[in-house]
Amino acid sequence: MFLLLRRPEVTLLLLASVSAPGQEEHWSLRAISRPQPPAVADGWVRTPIDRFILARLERAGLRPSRRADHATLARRIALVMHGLTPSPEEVGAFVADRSGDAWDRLVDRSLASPHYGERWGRHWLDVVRFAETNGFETNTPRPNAWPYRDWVIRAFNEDLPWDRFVTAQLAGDTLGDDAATGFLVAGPYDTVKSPDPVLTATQRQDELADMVNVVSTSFLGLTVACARCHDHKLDPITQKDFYAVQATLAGVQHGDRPLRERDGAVRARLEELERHVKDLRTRLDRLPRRPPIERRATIIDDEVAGSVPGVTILTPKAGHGINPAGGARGHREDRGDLARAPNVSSGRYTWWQGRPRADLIAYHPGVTGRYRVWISWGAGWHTHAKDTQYVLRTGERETMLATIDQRRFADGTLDITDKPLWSGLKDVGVHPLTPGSRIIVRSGSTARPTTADVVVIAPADSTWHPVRHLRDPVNASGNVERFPPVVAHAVRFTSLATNSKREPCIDELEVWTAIEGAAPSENVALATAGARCSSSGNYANDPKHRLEHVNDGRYGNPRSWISNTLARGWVRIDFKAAARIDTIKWARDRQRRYADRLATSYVIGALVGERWVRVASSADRVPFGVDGDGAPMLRLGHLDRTITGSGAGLIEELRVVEAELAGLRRRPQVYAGRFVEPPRTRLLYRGDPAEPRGDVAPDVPAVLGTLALAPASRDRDRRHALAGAITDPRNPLTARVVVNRIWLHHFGEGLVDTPNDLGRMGTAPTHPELLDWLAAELMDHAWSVKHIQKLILSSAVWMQASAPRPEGDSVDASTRLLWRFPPRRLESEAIRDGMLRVSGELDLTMGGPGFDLFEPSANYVRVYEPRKAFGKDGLRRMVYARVVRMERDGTFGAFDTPDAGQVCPKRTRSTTALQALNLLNAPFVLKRADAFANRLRRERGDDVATQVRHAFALAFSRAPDQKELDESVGLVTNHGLSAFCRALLNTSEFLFIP
Amino acid sequence: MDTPPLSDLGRRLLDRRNFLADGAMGLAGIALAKLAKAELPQRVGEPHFAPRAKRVILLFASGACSHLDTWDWKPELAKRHGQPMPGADDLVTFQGENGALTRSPWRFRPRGRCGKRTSDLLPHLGGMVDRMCFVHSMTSRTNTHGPAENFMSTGFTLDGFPSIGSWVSYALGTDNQDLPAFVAIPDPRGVPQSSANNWGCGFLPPVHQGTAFNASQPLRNLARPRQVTPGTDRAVRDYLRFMNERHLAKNPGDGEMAARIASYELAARMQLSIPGVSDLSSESPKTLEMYGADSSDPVRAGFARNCILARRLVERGVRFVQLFNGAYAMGEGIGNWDGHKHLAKQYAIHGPIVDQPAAALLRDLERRGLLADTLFVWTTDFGRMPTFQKGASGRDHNPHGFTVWMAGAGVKAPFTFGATDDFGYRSVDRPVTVYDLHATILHILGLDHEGVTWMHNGIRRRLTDVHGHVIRELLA
Repeated sequence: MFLLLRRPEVTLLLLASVSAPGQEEHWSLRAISRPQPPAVADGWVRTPIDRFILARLERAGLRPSRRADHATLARRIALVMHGLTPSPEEVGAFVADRSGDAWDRLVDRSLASPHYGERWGRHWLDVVRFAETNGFETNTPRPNAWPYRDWVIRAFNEDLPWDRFVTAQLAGDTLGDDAATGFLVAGPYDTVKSPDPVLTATQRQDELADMVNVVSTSFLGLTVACARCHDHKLDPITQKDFYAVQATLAGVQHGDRPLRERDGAVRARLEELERHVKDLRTRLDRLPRRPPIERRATIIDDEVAGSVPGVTILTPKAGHGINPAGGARGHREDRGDLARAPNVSSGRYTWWQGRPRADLIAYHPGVTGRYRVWISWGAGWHTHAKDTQYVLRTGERETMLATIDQRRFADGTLDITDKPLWSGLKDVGVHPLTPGSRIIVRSGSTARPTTADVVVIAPADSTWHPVRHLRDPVNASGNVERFPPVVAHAVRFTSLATNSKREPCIDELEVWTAIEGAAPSENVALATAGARCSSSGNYANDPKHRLEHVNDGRYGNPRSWISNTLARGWVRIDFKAAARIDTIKWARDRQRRYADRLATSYVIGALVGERWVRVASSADRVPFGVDGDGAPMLRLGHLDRTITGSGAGLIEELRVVEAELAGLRRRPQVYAGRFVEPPRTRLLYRGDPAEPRGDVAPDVPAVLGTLALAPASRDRDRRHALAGAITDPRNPLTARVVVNRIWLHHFGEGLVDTPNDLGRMGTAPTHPELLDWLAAELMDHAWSVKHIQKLILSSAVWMQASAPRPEGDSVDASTRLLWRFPPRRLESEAIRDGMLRVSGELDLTMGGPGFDLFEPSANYVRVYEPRKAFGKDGLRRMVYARVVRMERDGTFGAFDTPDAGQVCPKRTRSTTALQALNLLNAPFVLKRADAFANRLRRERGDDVATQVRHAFALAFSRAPDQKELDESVGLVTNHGLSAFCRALLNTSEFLFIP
Repeated sequence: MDTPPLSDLGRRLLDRRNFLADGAMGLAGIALAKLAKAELPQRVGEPHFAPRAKRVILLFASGACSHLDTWDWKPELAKRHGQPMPGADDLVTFQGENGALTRSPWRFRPRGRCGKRTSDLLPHLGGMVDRMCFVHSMTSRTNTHGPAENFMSTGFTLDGFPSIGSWVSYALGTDNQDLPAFVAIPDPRGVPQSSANNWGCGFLPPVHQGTAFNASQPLRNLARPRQVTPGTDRAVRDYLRFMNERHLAKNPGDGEMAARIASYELAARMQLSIPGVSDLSSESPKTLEMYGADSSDPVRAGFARNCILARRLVERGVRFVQLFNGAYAMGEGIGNWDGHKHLAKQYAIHGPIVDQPAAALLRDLERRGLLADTLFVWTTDFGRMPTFQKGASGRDHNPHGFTVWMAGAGVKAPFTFGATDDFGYRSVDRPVTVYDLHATILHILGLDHEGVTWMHNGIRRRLTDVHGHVIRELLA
């Protein structure tokens, strides 16, 4: 029987039954009816849920337990719904409230608290194996993964209807909900690629299989992944079904994507800041300038071989050290400070295996005159040579420039982190240079590795200094070149390299005359001023990019020039008449829409008489890319020395405003996948990518109907259609799966105890009618998860006492029939949060980038060492700790934290000696015990019995009895308050949901 | 501090037959994963048939130790040194293009009474060749280190599957009262590429996870904190037991709460037993010297101490010891066997680190009679190419052929099984998969590899996935 269902975005054919003849249809694939709650005696019953439970208990000859006392209920609801130990005040208020609706109000408050989402969002993050590293061998961080975690927490807090929750995670990019698709790429990703095509195909196939697995098990409770190599042995899932679902996801790639969440307030602020910057720049421009420096510095890179300036490699190198990302000292985006130059090394150095006293590399300065020389090298590794020599050779003469300990920074400080850092520039004095001069790096007296990085030279008579006078990196939206005035007929801009390796683009090249007397500066490059332009070649057949656009006075990509050669090309402007010029301005796109095709290495010449004179180049700029946080690197170098007060003030203000502006302009990224148009999907014989068979169209498993999509349909249509099929109310699986997950986290076990598998390999529900009733109730109440939870929390079954009873144990030892509330040990997060809560240290800041559980590491292969001490940032709730795949927290990881390698539908709950050792001896726990003790003293003074009572209220939500009081006072008196607190944090009562 | 006595309750809990019917046992007999009965596999704790070995030491040479420079003698390779490899036009391997066939820088000579040729790189181990059962026809499914380590340790290239040691812990439980069933000993230089996934428990209860420590780095949180006096520590534990027993009295018969009490008792026992097993001061100077633990090279001495630790662990009944040689913190080839660029120079450093200590471990096990019921396995990620890489002096990854060897309980020795082609590139004679190796190791422990299973996410998982054949020819 076929049902045809029309929806705006998807046509779904639902098959009522696809079971093989003679095989009874599996329970989970039957349509959801809404069973009538059984008729039972009314006395105990509070909600329809209780009728189903009581009827089943009666069939087993069991009675429910009495209601738990008020303090227990208040503690239970706080732990289950928020994962936080309740405060004595919260418990006290509920115990004292004798009004009829006291419990209902507590339930409402619990569901409305933002801590609810932190707890229940974490349950979902288990299912989707969310982590903030890639896994596999490098296990490098995903710094932009956290917005998905925040999205999940917010979705629970806002009670996002479950059908929308599903749709957003599959196709949030089409709904303006970017972070949600973090779901698709939450799993591991092998970043180590190889030229071997078979390996690459296998990796991609593994990625897709992982996505198929998480989609089908998390939403549908179907183990489609079983069918990768052959038809499912038990469930009606064929191998074709597997590849059909895979095809729906075939356009999904791992990676970051821009997060498009912008509101009006942000836009308004952007405009305000832009106006402010313009104003500040105008005021700065009016300040008197000092004369520009005549001849600037040259940076000689250790990797530019075969040219002058450049290098010759004398001994085969071993490889390169790559400076780690980030702005810390010696890192790639190190911007320097008042005493140190920014990282001008382009982020990598060259290194050699140890061979004592060998000449490794020669720098060719290619200049004549007295020059000051700065050297640099790779620092930070304990293995590096301690006596590397730098020698200047001119003809036969050698001058020793320096002997360097390459473990250290240029200023001699030592910071051995075993990271490949840039040393900074070391001044080795003024030396006479000729075109034949070489600066040679000679390895030291031992076999230790030797490194080499950029060398900088500047004329001795100039006042150039690397800290003050390196200019900002080139910028796509505007660059200014100032130089001592020259009288020239023409200028030529030559690009040598671009950031995107594509043909260079300039939207407008302006050449301004020097100010003389009252005459204003004027742009003599304009066509309207009579200037003519020529070039090395022009980008073909694009009306936006034409040679005449380079001096038409109009900005932006649509009025720009592009060369016809990759990376290179020149454009020349001949003035109407010779002019005295001192400023050139150029940009890639002053409208800030494009930042590719930017000339990052360039030379600007001016034609003076018959001779081309270099007036500006990129050689004294900080290399492109060293602008870590996007804020401009403003330097006072160009301002006259007398302008200190007002100039410095303006610069400082500009720095602050531009930093905020850059932050707002920078589009935040989220690790939520990238979407491409999918390649064809083919069935793979035995799952082997080397054995493709016929094409498979994107679809849901046949048991759920068909999406009726064309094989070549678009990526977004595929994902959208998949979401439509999963959330179709006639799909019997989705609602059953979610209500079962909710039940699981209320009672510690689901109605079906295989929550990711409602198929034949899974187990049957203990209360099938209740499961269906809840599923129907969910859909009838607009997929509201909180509605179901309110029903559960209001039920008599949830409010039962938890103490075992012999008659219950004898019939149903595992409490699946719920003749009592099953107590259970808390999860790792709730234990850690609980310790911080009672010690009074918990920082309840929500959202944003997480804190680290591990010491920092920048190795190629990450090494995660548990963090030794936690400052303020480490005292947030554990859901905000950065999740490292395959590495568990050093203290609490032993409490069954999932490792995010595979999906985790429910955690194991083990009891081990390692847990005991961690809780007894971990420095983290001892610190909390001390803080707990301090809190008791602070809040209750010095009377031991009073301290003990307060401690019991905080940790257990109850008062001690006389025996407990005596024992506790004894422990405190003889061994101190911290010892007592350490013991409390280890007790079963503290660790269990009552 | 003396050994705290086990309470009645603790003793009851330690007896696995009296323990909860639905509990999974593990670490020193006391662990409880309260899962539904349906998820529990068949009876655990007993082998399926008479075991040939009770324990395993698995030495993992991390970084892919080249079979062509150690165990797999290829006279044809030496003969054709400098020539292109026939049929290898345009062959692209992990790092790119390959150069010419290159013979090993080390000579292979006949050793032992059997006269099998092994290389001069590992002369001490070569001297033990009469005890070794070689498999020269190993293959892997991947040529990338992380996935290959995963594959060798867990049977899956992906992260998150239980390691072979944790399967063994789960299947056989522990053989002692105060040490973990499964210990991983990381190299003194650090952890391998896949780090803890090599000894992870995946979806098995964490009690089966390998406990990682070595002779230089003690188990975290094992020692009583320095700022706590022994008297206070004792008082805290007594008070804790008082509180926990009262709590249990309010919840009579709750297995999870009872298990917590016993877990603290076991923790106290481990605090005594593990420092004991890690303390090598009782070893004679002669033993230290035999292993090379007196070496002035801290890495060599550190690995030697790890080898002694491995022996002390199996001596005390630890079931599975995973001993790592090589670490990845410093990148390829520097602290491990990943010889892409300068194989001769790098292996000349790594060879002596592993050679004497590992050979001494074998000899020591034999001398103490432990080799009679301990299986020793030498393994690595995968093999390396018979060619050198274009523009380098080292070998690229090769998953198509490599060597593992076993020694001790259950295997024939001296014995050689399978072969690679004339150059050592591809397994041609009776290729063996990692699944087969795993099936064989489990078989030697008395386990049917198809019978050790765990229900996860709708699939009855096992170490060998849907593959694996016991290589009966290897069995003694």
